Amino acid sequence: MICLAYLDLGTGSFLLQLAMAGCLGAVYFFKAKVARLVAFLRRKKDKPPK
Amino acid sequence: MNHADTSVVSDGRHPASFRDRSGFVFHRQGRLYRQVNESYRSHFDQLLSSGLYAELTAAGLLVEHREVMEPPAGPQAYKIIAPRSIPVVSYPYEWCFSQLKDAALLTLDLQRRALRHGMMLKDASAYNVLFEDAAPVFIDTLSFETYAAGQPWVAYRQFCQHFLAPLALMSQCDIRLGQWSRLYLDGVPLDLAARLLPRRTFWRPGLLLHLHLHARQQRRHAADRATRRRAAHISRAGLQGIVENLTGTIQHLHWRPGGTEWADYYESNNNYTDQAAQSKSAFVAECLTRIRPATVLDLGANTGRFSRIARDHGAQVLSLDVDPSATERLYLNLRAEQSKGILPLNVDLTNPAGGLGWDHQERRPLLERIGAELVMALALVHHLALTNHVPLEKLAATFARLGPALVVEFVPAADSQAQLLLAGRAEKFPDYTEEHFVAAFARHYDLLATRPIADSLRTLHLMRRKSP
Repeated sequence: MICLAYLDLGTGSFLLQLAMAGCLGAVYFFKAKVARLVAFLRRKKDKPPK
Repeated sequence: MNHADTSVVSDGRHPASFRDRSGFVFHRQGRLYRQVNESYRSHFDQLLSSGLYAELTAAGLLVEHREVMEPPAGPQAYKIIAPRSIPVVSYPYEWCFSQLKDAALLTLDLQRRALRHGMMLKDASAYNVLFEDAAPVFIDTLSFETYAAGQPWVAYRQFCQHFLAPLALMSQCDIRLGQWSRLYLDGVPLDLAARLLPRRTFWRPGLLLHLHLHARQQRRHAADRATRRRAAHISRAGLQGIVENLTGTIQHLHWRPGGTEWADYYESNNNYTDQAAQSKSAFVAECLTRIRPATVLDLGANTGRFSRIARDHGAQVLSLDVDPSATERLYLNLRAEQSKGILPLNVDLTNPAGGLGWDHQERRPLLERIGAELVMALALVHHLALTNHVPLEKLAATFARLGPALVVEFVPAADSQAQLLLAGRAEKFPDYTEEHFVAAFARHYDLLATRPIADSLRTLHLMRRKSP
């Protein structure tokens, strides 16, 4: 895929993203998992027992 | 609509639409079109086929468009689209704090949703956002590109310069620094913002990362070329994490209006008794019923009391005020009410934004972008004439350029508010009389009605512009 971007990101901005991505990505991943788990448990709780 | 942007250059291309190779904006017979170039074909198709376009337009985040059979305006055309027109073109340096903040959050929301659809925003310019009523809308349909695994967010630095730096400066240093957007069209340089922000901002993780460390990294790698970037890979979760972190950082930037000159005008320092206020509102309502304007320009709108009356008479209102607090309050109130029909902007009429950018053409002068069927200048003339020494003839000429009808309030020198403006000044204003005011405005307008405001020395005038 050709990257159409006409902006130059700049090496400094790129390296900062690289450094942040690992840490913030892990936080994001963890939060998403927790949110899914909470949604799952809530659904289970809301369901009337058969 | 009278507010509409009708700037045209000789070939119809919009003078600000030249940077992006994906396409451009052009005008033809008074209509706005966007040409999509062949080079953008796969990205444009994905925007539509992925469901991203439908999701964004349904949520009111992106301007809708129609594909049309219009002949192209340049080579390599893939499609021509006609976007829905947004009545008023406003720029970041005319937005209040919360408008800029909402535009920033909208941009991040688009990036978040785009990533979920396998796309990303390739630019994050504040000029891709306009305001309609009290809500921002993204106007650059060609800003989305296919996401390739591992690539960084190329617009990250631009986002920080256009949004984060000015918001941080406005919130942590001084609200007036919002005007720097007018000086730095590609956003406030991060090293400049980092140098001015107080030390305490190091303790805010978002500002530390995206501003202070970002500025330092830029400085350190200013001479490096892209060689080191190739091997590196940034995961999609990493990009999403950065967007979430930026969102939190922006959400935690606050500015409390107040302390500026006009914020409490109607609450505490109003010069009107109940009877005077009612008398003024009644006359304004009568004028609106008589003129029936589709658009109204409220100059010196303050808390928007008269803008609301105009809106309730069915007009689309543009409310301008010089005070950032007044604009902020009006915007926040309208947003909370999810109110339609009024757009507040922060504008200094004594120094309106001129033509900026390349050839003075990229960002157009304010007075070319605004206008309405009825102009309201209530409790304004004495400020412009006495504080700013603008002759009454010049006021009349400028008001007449902005619209064919005018409701204007004359505040005589003997009025207590005018006395405050004149206090301690050696200068007298011998020409500042109602007689001279009427004569000065009569050069441009025919007087339709005059009414003294009950319980005050002030008078209201409804006028119609003379045909040339």
